[in-house]
Amino acid sequence: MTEIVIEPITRIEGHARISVQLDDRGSVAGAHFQVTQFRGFERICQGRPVSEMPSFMARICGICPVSHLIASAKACDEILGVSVPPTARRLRRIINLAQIVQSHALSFFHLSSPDLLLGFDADPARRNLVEVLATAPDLARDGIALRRFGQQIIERLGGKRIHPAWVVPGGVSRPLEVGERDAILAEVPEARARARRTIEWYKAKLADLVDEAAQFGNFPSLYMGLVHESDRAAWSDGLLKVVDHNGWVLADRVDPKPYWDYLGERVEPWSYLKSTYFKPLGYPEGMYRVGPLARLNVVERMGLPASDAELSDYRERLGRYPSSSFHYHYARLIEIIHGIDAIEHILSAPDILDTHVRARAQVNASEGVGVAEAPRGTLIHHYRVDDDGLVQWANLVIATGHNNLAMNRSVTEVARHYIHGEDVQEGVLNRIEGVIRCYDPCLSCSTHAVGQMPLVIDILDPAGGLVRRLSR
Amino acid sequence: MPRARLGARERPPFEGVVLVGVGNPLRRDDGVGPAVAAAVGDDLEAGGARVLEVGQLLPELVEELVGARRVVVVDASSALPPGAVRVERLGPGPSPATGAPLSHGCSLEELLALCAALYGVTPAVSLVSVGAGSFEIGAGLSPVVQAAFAAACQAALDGARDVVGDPPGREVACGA
Repeated sequence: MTEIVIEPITRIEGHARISVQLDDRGSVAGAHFQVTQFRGFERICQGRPVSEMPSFMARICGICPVSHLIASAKACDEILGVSVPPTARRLRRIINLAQIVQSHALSFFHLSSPDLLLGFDADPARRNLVEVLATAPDLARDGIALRRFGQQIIERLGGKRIHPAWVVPGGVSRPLEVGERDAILAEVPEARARARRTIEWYKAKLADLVDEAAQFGNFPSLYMGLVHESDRAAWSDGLLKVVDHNGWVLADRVDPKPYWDYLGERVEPWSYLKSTYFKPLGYPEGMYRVGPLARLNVVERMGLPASDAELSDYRERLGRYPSSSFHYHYARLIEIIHGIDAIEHILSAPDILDTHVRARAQVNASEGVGVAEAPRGTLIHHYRVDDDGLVQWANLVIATGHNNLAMNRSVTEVARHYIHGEDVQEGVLNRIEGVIRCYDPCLSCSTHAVGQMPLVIDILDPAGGLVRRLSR
Repeated sequence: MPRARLGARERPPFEGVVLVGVGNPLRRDDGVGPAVAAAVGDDLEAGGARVLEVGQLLPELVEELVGARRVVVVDASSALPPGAVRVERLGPGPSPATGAPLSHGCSLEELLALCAALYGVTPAVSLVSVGAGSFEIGAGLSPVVQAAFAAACQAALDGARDVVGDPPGREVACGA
């Protein structure tokens, strides 16, 4: 059997690689997206005061710190037994939406737009944002500006330096000021215009990407996400919903906190990244997807006019339950539009400047679970504390773990479609990477490693000898 | 929908100094960049500089860097001996780094190339690299990097004050 290995060389140590096993006839026998970095952040939580947990956990990831901040604060809210003031809940929602907008912008423009604009067969040396800027300058500028839009909101609310301590157990540490509100609102129209023309560009581009859309992880699975009790999109607070590819509802707006009732975790020998599955269906039949594609499949509507119109258009083009992971890109753009509108909508609430934004309490429970939607999907923080409020145990279930089984299935399907024999072209390898990019895995989050992932691709003969090496 | 007007943007007028500390403080010495930024940040900000602590270099940093008279980036390095402090002057590379197809981060060279492509200008950049002794999960610098910390802070301050030497770089301390 021949094995193709796409292996990273990180500045710390290898923590992920893609391997494709060929049989003696040159057909793909199997494939794995492998993560080999041990995650250990749960361990260093032990002994820390619960009051410090949100800002501490935000340091897990340089890409989505706010998501960890929100989920952690919600777990701490439960330990304190507090009712978070309504204005604080809205403010948390704003910073979470800003994180989703800026993270989606990074994924779409920085990571994936070179594939979409230049094509999957383009020279890898051109696969970067500078080349996008040279080819489609407005697209690149829009990407940078949308990313900046979200980041500026986070900075205005949480502070300039990373990992803001603004979101705290019980609410937020200070109220919104009128100048901050007005500054954010003033930036909305331009952000909205940039998002709108990006989605129009993408919809026109879809016709060129029919083959990839058909092959990139196009299989039935379950979909999971938080929804509002009225079945519209939910972000920082919501109920858990699970549907299958036919629309059968397997969990209908249930309390997400006892996640262990729904989700099983399995550690595969080839990866330290835990694979989660929907427990009632077992492993691996309980494979599910989270994140933008799944969220759009579980909701009935987004809840605001522009994104509802885009969702209707999306469903007219792709069906009610699109199953190709390629459509994560499209779903991401709809969520950017929704996020911008939702930020404006929430900021327009009459009590958004209310100064009662924090409930204070001592430890009132020994355990807490916080669940929120992160850019890549449902994020769960679960802590147990002692009588003094010191963390004794922590468990994090992150979006990239939810999607692990689906990412592996996707890599296998793409490899089977495009690889026939040992003469593997660059464009094929880029498609294998490309299907992973659809999920936008945050490996610094899921494996807690620094996320530089240059790739080396080795093709090995059945005895393990090197047949061919491709480097990026 | 009009495109040209939205896309057009002048170079930001800011002409001061930007200090960027890069890294994750929960990966031991990977946090040396933010630690240096925290240590010297107040003094620099009092003088009008902007101080940023970031987990990774990301595209929107272009907007922070492009108008700067000088940029100083402090980052951990696995290529240098632990405790070594190296200062280099950087410019946009002939082509940006493209070796990280799944990474969310940019290289510094890529950021400078983006500055040039977007605005036609690039700031003068000093990169202060600190050889790391440990990237394990946990807070706090390793003893060898702690011993070199003052030198790293001084290198950052020198860079901010335009007293950094020319390429190919100079090593100002080595604790290895």
